[in-house]
Amino acid sequence: MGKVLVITSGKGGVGKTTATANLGAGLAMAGNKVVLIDTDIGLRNLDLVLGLENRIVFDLVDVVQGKCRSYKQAMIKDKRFESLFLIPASQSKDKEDVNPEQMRQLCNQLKEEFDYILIDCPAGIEHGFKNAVAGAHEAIVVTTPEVSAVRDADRIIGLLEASEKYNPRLILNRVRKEMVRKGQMMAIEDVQEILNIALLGIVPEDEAIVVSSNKGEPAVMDPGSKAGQAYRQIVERIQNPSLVYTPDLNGNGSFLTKLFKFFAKAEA
Amino acid sequence: MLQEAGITIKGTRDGLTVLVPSEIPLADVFSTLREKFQKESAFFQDASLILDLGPRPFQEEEFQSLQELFQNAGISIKGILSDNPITKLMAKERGIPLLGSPSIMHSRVRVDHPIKRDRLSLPQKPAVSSQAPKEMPKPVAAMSKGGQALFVRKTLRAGQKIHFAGDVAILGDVNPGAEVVAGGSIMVFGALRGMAHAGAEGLREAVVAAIVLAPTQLRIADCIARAPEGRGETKVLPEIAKIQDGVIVIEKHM
Repeated sequence: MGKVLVITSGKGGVGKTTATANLGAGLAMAGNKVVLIDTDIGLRNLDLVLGLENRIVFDLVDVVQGKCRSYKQAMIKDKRFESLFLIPASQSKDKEDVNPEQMRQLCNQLKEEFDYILIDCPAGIEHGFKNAVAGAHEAIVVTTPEVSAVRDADRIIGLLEASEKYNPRLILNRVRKEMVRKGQMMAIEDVQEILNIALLGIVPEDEAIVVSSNKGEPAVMDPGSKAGQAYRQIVERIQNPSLVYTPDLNGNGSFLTKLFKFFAKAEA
Repeated sequence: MLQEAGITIKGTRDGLTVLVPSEIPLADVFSTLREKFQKESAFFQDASLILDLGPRPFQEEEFQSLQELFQNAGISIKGILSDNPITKLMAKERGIPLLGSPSIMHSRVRVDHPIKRDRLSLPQKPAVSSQAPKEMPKPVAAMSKGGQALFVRKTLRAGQKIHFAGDVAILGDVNPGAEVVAGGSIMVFGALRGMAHAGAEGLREAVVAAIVLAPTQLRIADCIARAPEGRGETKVLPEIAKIQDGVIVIEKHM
C-alpha cells in the first residue's frame, strides 16, 4: 500500500516542484516505485524540471475526464530510473477541471501499484490546493527563511491541521548559512517559533539547482551538489520516519516548551 | 495619528496633542521631539500643541528644557494635560495653561520630596499628599458581564480567527496573521504575535495579557495601538495591556 504525500507551501517559488522532483528521484534511486503528480494545472512545471516535457501525450485532466483509458496512458516513465513515473498537468486547462473527489479516486488507484505517490501542489490556498491535498495522507510543507514565505506556510499548516490526517513536516529551503550566522536571514529557530512542526530537513541555497532545473536533471543525482545531498538525507528520513532530525542547534520546539525551560532554569 | 519612538501625536477636538508615555526616558522624549519638529518644520510651523504628560512628574528644569525645545522649534504650548500633582504645580508656576477638569487645575499640592522616576513600572503613588486620593486599582481580570469564557487549547495560525462575546483564554500562541476578537478580556498563555481586540463591544475595562506581548496590532474597545518599531528578540516577559487615560498602556505583569 503506497503512501501519498502532498508537497505544499502556500507561497509560490519556494521550491515545491524542485523538492517533488528531487524527492521523487531520490526515492526511486533508493529502489521504491514512485509516481509524481503535477496538480498545477495551467502552469505545469514538474515535467520541465525532470526533462520529460517532450514525451507528454496525455495529462492529469485527460485522466480524470476519461479522455484516455487509464492513468497508465498518461504516465511517463523516466528512463533514467528503475521506477519513476510522472503524471503531468495540463498546460491549457485550469484548476477547476479537476475536483478533489477525482484526485482522491486517482490516488486510491495509484496506492495499489506504487510505494510513494508525491503530489506537487500549486501555490495558493484555493481550488488547486484543495485538489492536491484531497488524496494525500501526509503533507510536506516547504518554506524559505523569509517572512512572507513563513507567513504563508503558517496559513497552509493551519488549513492542514484543520483535518487531523496530514502530520505536516517542514523542509526549510534555500538557506544561506553565512547570512544566518550574520543575523541577516531567519534561522531555523526563528522559523520554528512560528511554524512549530516536525522538521524533515534543511536544504541549502545551491547554484547547482539552477543548472539542474535547466538541464532537467534533478540535483539529487549530482554527488557534488549540497542541495542534492540534503535531499538525499530527506529521502532517508521519509523512508524511515523513526529517524529524528536534530540539526546542530539549541533545539527547536514550541514557544511553551521554551517558556517552561526558562522557568526551570530560573528555579534551579 | 503619528507615532514615533513611542510618542504619539494625535488630533483631538482641542487641537494637536502630543502623548508622551511614561516609560520612555525623558532625554529620549526630548530628542525625538526635537528631531520630529526639525524634520517636519513646515507642518509644525506656528503650531500650538497640547502636551499630554500623563502621570509623569516634571520638575522645574525639565519644564525649562521642554519650553526651550518648543520655543526653538517655533511651536507654542497650548496647554498641558497631566495627572501628576507636581507637574501641575510646576505648569502653573511657569504660566502654562493646565487643561482638563477644573478640580485638577485648582488642587494645591505641597512638594515634600521628588518622586523617584521608575521607568519600568506604572506610576507609583505620589509620595506627596494630594487632594484627590489615588483610586484603588481596578481588578485586572476585567470580566465581561455574562460570564462565559472560551478556552482554546491550540496555537492560532495565520488566517485563523476567534470571535467571541465573552472572555477568551488561549493555551498556545497567536501567530502573526491570526486574530482574536473578544467582547471581554483576552489572555494568551503563549506568544501573542497576531491581532487581538478585547472589549470589542465597547468594554474599555477589558485587558489583553500574554506571556509574550508582541502583537501586530492591539485593540481595546475603540483604542488601537501598534507595537513600537524594531522590537528585537522576544523577551519572555508577561505583560498586560489596558486602557488608561484614553490610551492603551502596557505594564509588566507580575
